Amino acid sequence: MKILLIEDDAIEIMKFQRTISSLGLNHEIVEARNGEEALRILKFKEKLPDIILLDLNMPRINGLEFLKILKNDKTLRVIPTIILSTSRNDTDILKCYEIGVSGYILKPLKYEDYVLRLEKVLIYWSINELYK
Amino acid sequence: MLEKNIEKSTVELSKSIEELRTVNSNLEKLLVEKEIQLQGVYEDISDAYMVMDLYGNVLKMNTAAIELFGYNIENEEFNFRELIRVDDFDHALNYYMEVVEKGFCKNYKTRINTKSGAVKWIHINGSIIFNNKNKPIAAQGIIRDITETNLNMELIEEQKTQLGIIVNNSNLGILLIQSGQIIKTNDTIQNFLGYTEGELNGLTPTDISFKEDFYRYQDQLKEMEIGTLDNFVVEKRYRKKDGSMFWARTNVNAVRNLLGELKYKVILVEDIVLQREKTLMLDLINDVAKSILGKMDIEEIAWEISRSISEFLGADDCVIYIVNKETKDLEQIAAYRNNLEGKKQMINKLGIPLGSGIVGTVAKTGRAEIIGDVTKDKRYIVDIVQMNSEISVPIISNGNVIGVINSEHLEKNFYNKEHLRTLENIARLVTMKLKNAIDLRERERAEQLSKKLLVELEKSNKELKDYAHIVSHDLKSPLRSILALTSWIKQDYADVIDKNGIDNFKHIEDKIEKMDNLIDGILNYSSIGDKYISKTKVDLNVIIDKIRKIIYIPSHIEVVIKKNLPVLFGDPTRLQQLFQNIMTNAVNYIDKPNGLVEVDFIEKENYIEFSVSDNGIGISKEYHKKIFEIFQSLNDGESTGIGLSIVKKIVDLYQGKVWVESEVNEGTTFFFTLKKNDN
Repeated sequence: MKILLIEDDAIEIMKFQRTISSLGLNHEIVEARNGEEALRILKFKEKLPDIILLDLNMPRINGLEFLKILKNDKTLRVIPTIILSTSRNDTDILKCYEIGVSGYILKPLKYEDYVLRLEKVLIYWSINELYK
Repeated sequence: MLEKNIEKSTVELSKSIEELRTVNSNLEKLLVEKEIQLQGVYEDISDAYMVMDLYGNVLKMNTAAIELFGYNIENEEFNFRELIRVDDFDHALNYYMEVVEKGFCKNYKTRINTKSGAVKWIHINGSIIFNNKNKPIAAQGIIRDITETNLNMELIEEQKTQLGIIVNNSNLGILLIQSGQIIKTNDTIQNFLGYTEGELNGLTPTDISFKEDFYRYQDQLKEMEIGTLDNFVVEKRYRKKDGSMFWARTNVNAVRNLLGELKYKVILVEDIVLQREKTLMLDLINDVAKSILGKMDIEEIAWEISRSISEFLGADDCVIYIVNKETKDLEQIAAYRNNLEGKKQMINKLGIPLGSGIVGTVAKTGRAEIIGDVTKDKRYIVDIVQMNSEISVPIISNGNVIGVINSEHLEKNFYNKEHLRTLENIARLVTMKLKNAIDLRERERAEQLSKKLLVELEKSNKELKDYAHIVSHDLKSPLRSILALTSWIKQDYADVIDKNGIDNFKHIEDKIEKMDNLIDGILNYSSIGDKYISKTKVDLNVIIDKIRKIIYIPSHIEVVIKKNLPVLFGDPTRLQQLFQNIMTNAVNYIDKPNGLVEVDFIEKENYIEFSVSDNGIGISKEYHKKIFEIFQSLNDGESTGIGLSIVKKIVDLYQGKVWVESEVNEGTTFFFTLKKNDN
C-alpha cells in the first residue's frame, strides 16, 4: 500500500516508521509535515496514496481544515482517510465522521499499545479493495 | 337856660331836617335824572339791568331782568341777596365789600335761584352810585345769564380732565409732533421708551426709531406732508433710552388747520411685542406638539423640539440635552444652530458633567434660568460659538431632571419671561414623550449589551473548551513521545540496561501514566457542561454493571446493590461518570480485609437520594467539604483529585446535592440527590 502520513511531530513519524519496520511490513510511506505540504504532494504526484493517516492537531492548516479541502476535491475525496489523534473529544469525533473519515484511532499512551493498534489498522486496510 | 338850650336844639334840628330834606330832594332829583338817563340807555338792552339800594332791595329793573329773575318790582318787592345761593353767600359778601370799597366790579360770577326755583349762573358787571357828598347810596349792575356758557365751559373742563385721564392711562403711547419735534407725550410712551417727559420733548421721531424701518413708511409720510393722506398704520421698532428695542404698531394721524396745512401729527403707539409673542409662543407650542406626534425615536423628537424653538424664537441655537444616568453627564442629542451657512444640525459630542456650566447647573437644580449676559456669568461654557444670552429650562419627570432645553442668542437680554414660560410649557409637553423615548433607548441599549455579552460569553465558553482540548492534546502528545522513546531505549539497549535501569524506566512510565490520567480528568471535568445534555432513559442497574467491568475491584471487596435501582431520564455518559467516580473512590480507600461497598437509594417526592457507603479509612470532618473541590486529594497515591469534583459538577447539573458522612477508620457514605424526571 502507498500510505500518506500527515504528521507534524517528528517522534510520531519515527513511531510510525519504526512500527512499520518492526512489523516487517512492506508499505510505501510518504510523509507530509502539514496540510499544505500534503496538498502539494497530492496535486503533483501522479500516483495517489491508497490511504491517508491524518493527525488532527497540526499547525497552519489543521487536520479538520485539511479534511474539508480533501473531501471537497472530486479526485481526492475517494482516498480513505484515517484520523490519528490524542483527542477523545466527542465534538471532534463527530465532526470528522460528518466530513467523512474512514476511521478514528486514538493514539494510546504506550508505544507498545500503539504498535498493536496500528498493526490492526494496516492489516484491515490491506485486505480492503481500494479504488485505484 | 333850659329854654335857650331847647330853642337852640330845635333850631339845629330844624336845620338838620332842612338839610336832610335837601339831600332827599337832591337824591330824588338825581334819581329822577339818572332814571331818565338810564331809561334811554338800559331800557332796551338785551342784558338785564338792575338798581338796588345798599341792602340789596331792588329799586329798579328792566324787562330783561324781569325775565331773568322772574320777579317784577312793580308787582312785588324783592331783595337780590335772597336770590344768591346759600353756598355762594360768603363769596358774594366778600365780593360786595370789594365793590363797595372800589366802587365797581367786573366779571363777577355767581349762581342765583330764580323765582321759578331754577338755578342760573349769572355774570355781573356793576358799580356803586354815590351821592354828591360822595357817599354810596345804591348799586347798579348789568347781569348776564351765563348758565349755558358756563355749562359748556364746565363740560369742556370735564372733558379735558377725562381726556387727560384717558390719554395718560391709555395702553397706547401717544406722541404729539409739531414741525418734526415731539412736543407732548403721555405716560405710556414714556414708560415704553424709558424717557421722562422732559427728555422726550425736543427729540425727533428719528431719535426713537430705527433707520432700517424707515422704508416701511417713508411714502406715507410724504403723502401726509403734501396732504393726500391723513392716517396710516405701520409696524415698526422703537429704540429705547437703554438702546434696546421693541416692536410696536404705530398709528400716525394728521391734524390740519382750516387751510389744510399740517399742524400736528398725533402718533399712537401700540406695544405689540406681548401680543406678537403670545401668538408666536402659542404657535410654537402647537408646532412642537404636532411635530413630535407619533415619533418614538429620541433623536427625532429632540431634533423637532430644537428646530421648532430655534425657528419660532429666532434663537441662534437650541440644544436638547439628555441626562445620561450612568456617566452623570449631559449628552447633546439634538442641536439646531443658526450660523452663516444657514440652519443646520451640529452636535457637540462632548458631555457636560451635571453641575458644570449653566446647563449643568440647571440639570442639577431643576430650576430654569435666563442669563441676560453670559459674559458676566462664570459658569458659561462656549459650546461652538460664543453667545451673549442664554435660556436654560429643565425637563423634569417625576422630580428627576431627565434633560435640558437650552437656547442661546448673540444679542444680550434676548430672552424674556414669556420665552421662559413657553419653554417650560414645552418641557412639560415633551416630558412623557422624551421619558418614553429615553426608556426605549435604554432598553435597546441594555438588550444590545446583553446580546453582546451573551455572544461574548458563548465565545469565551467555546474558547475555554477549545483551550482545554488543545492544551490537553499538547500535553498528551509529549507524554506519548516520551513513552515511545523510553520503550525504544529499553528495546535497543536491552543488553546494557540492568534491573535498576529497568526499574527506573518503570517509574518514568508510571509517572507519565498518572499525568495522562490527570489530563483526561481535567478534560472530563471541563466537558461536563459541554454541549447539550442528552436525555434518554437510563437504567442505573445497567450502568452499575458496566462500571463493575471497567473499574478494578479486588476480590476481597464486595459491591452490593441493596435494591433494584430506578430508571432515570438523563445523560448516560454523565450518570456513568457520576457513579463510577464515587464507586472508584469507595473501592480505592478500603483498608479492611473484607471490603464492602453498598449502593442504595430512597425515593422522595421530588428527587431520589442515592447513597454509596464503604467500610474504608474514612474522612475526617474538616475535609468533608474540601474533597469536592478540584485537585483536592487526601493522599497522593493513584488519585488525581478530580474525581469528586466531577461528581459535584454532575450533581449540580442535575440540580441535586452531594454530601458526605464519615467516621475515620469506620467508613464513608456519599449521599447525592438527583431530581426526578419531568416524565
